[in-house]
Amino acid sequence: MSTQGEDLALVEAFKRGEESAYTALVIKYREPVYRIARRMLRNHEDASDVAQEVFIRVHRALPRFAAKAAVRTWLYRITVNLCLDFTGRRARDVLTGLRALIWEPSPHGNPGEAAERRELGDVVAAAIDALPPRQRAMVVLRVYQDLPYAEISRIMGCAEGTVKATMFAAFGKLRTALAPYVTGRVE
Amino acid sequence: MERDVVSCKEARDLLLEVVSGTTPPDARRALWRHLDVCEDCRREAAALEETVVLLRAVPEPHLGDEHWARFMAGLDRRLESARAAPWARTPRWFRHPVHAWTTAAATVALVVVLGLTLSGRPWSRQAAEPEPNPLRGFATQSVVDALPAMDASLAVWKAGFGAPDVSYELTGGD
Repeated sequence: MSTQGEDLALVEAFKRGEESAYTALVIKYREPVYRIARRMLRNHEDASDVAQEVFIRVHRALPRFAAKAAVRTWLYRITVNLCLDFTGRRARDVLTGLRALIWEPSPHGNPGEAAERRELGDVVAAAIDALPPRQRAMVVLRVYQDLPYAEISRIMGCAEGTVKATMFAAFGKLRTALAPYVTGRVE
Repeated sequence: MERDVVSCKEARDLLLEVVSGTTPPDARRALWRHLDVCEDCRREAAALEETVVLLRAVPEPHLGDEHWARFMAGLDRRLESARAAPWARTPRWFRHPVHAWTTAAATVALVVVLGLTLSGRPWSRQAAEPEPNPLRGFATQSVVDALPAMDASLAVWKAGFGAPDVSYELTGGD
């Protein structure tokens, strides 16, 4: 059975009253939902909070889910919208800024390499953070979730052409920000 | 039918999509064919690819079983409280807003204003200017003098000519 077929079967089971079907959906999608939120919000606590809120909304809305979109698209759309709301709120909060970014050290690797990766992580994080929220969302969905443009357009509620144009603009900014680290070698 | 990329503009349009993630194989093949013969686009592709590699080089935080156990326990608690109290369904940042006092003061002010407006306090009516009578300009002295006669005529018209209880005598006017 395809992923979409499995998801729809879980939704139908939940509608019949099987609470375990909801738990199965949470277990299947909690990690990508958290990772999208984490990439967009740059903070573990906020990302966890938003991920839980996503699944609370899913629990509330599942009985009315009409399968017009794929379950994954629907879930990611809720995630992105909640992250955009949260980002809008946080932008007004003077206490939160780039300095509040948390990068957890990897449990593996030597200290020198870890420091280097951390520095690169900070640079990349700052470059992504500098993007407008919708551009950031599209970059996260494409680069880190590897979603096709068509699905990103459904998640973001815009035309596929808009996704292409937005990605183009976002990558222009990312290339400028990361230029010192790009050699431009042709293999 | 196999797709074909002819111009550099088409190649650049396709480049970002191909470099940044999964793309249909025919699009990839078409782009590679163009890159084989175009050095400018090849250089552009290399720079874009390096940018994507840098973006993906940032480590994902390690999430252990302990994290997910806490996550599921927290989710269960929030679902329980959502079932217990409908207002608890609102997100945490809404339940504990940053500007709680400002919001409370604005709400109280709004309630007071609405209350005064809806209760129809006399000051609100006194403050209003009286509506000007649109006929005031036409009420000359001769019109005022003719009013009783017009009144009698109206009574006759209403009752019909020949009605016994209507006086035909004009009581005013010329």
